[in-house]
Amino acid sequence: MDGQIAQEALHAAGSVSLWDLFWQAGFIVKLVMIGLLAASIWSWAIIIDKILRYGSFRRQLNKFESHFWSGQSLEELYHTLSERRTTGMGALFVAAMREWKKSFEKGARSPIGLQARIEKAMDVTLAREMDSLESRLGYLATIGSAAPFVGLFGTVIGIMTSFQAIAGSQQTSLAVVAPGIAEALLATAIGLVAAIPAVVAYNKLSADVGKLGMRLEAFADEFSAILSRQIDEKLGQR
Amino acid sequence: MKSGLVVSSILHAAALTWGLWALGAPEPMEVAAVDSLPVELVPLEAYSQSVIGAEDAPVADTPAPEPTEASESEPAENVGDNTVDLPTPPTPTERPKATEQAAAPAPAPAEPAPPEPAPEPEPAPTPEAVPLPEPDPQPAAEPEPAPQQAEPEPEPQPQPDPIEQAIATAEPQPEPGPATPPEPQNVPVPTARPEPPAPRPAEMQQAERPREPATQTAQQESEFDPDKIAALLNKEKSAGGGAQSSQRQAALGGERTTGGRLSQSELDALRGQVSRCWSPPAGVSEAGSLRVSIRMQLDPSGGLEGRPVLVDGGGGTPIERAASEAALRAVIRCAPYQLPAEKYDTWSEVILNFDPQEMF
Repeated sequence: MDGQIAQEALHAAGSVSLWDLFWQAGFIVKLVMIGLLAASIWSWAIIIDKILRYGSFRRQLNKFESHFWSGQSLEELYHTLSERRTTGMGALFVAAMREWKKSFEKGARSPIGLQARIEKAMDVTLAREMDSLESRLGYLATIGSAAPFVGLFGTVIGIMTSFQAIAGSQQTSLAVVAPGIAEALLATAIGLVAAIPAVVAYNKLSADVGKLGMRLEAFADEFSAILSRQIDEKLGQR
Repeated sequence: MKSGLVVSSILHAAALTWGLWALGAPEPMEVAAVDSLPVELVPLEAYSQSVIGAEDAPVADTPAPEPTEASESEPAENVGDNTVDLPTPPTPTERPKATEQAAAPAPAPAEPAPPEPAPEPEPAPTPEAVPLPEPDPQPAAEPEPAPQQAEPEPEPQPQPDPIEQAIATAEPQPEPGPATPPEPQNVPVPTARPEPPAPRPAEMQQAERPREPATQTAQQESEFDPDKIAALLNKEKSAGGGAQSSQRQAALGGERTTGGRLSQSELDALRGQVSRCWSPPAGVSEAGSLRVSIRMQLDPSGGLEGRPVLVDGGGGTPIERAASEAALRAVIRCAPYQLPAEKYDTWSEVILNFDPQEMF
């Protein structure tokens, strides 16, 4: 008798594949699942983009450093770099050199003012670079922390509605309860699928950004020291 | 960023398609088809009441205990059954009846056997005096004076004769002999043969000898036959006694029949008996609150066993207490109740509800 009821309930509920579970879910649960799926796609897009971008950024830094410390004159380096759009250390270098050239073409007198202006220009460029590096990492953090709760919300709503339906149908057989709970739990599953990679990637990417920022700051300090020495030499020649 | 989005979308689509195929539909659990469990809704009475029957018997419409087993006859060797042990078995069932009723006729052939005493008395009544002295000088003298006076005298002399004869034949002889004074009486009395008359022999013989001495002695001899002792014993097969036997197939049930209930008329009878003695409190506005329940235990004769107990009602106001007192009094006063004795199981404990509302 019980088995028969279960069989009938199974036939009534149809099969229990993921697709069927999704389609049998209620409106809110569907919305939650779609949103979580989109968040997952978005977070993976950010992860892929950032990994690729940091990789290329690191390669650019290495390449620029090898150029910079190869004994090449700053003027030549500036000419080659200023002709194209640069990022990272190149941008820092170009910003500092541009300020340097402008000051000397206009016949700047005060070495202290020149030094301050160059550092300011490099700070601004560094901030802009860091900003572009860290952009969208916040999404990962948000998805990582919020997706499980969103999924849980969908699950609670789904279980709530399925229990309401059970209360209406006057049947407490497990076969009647199971599909509703299964489809509700799907929401939590999607939430976790979206959140776990986001959290892991956020931790790794923010660590990477920290390292790159350190290298940029170190270069900025170093280059500012080099320019300061150059200013002193130029003023001493006059 | 665009490339990242595209790659991510492609990855998700691939993962979802794979998931739909791989995680698609888990095999439904193999649930063995369970036979439906038959559940019968039965009233509680089915358990509290039982009919007589056997515990392991199938259910049947009519209650019946286990069939009574007939006791088996024991092997003949162990008991000593003549029909089996003897090469020439006697005809047991025929003989006792024949001998019992033949007790009277039997003496007839036996009479000729002891002819010695017979001639003695015969001549006695007759006036022939001559032949007597020849065979026996003593008896000869007896007959003459005997009829009227000489009774005590002849006694000592003839006495030794029958006694000697009796001793000679067998000691038990005198016992059956005297029990049957005259011939006609002897026929219907075979069963009364036992010993009680035993003390009599001397007196009887003394008193009756003169009248029919010859026939009496003949009977005495013929009565006793050691070969017929078996015939004298009661060979009637025992019958009767014991419980009624059950021939029917046993039905499911308990050791005895309980349950059952008083019929409506019997209930009415009990109600009438109680209400005869009941004077409900009159003039009470709310009679509904005066309902009283009393439990009483009865013995099989219908009398009260112990004191009836108030089960319900009778608390609170004085009026209610009065009502309960009245009910208790009624129950006690009507004490021996006339109820069907065979249903004692059902009315051994009775709860009576007294409701003044139904009276008015």
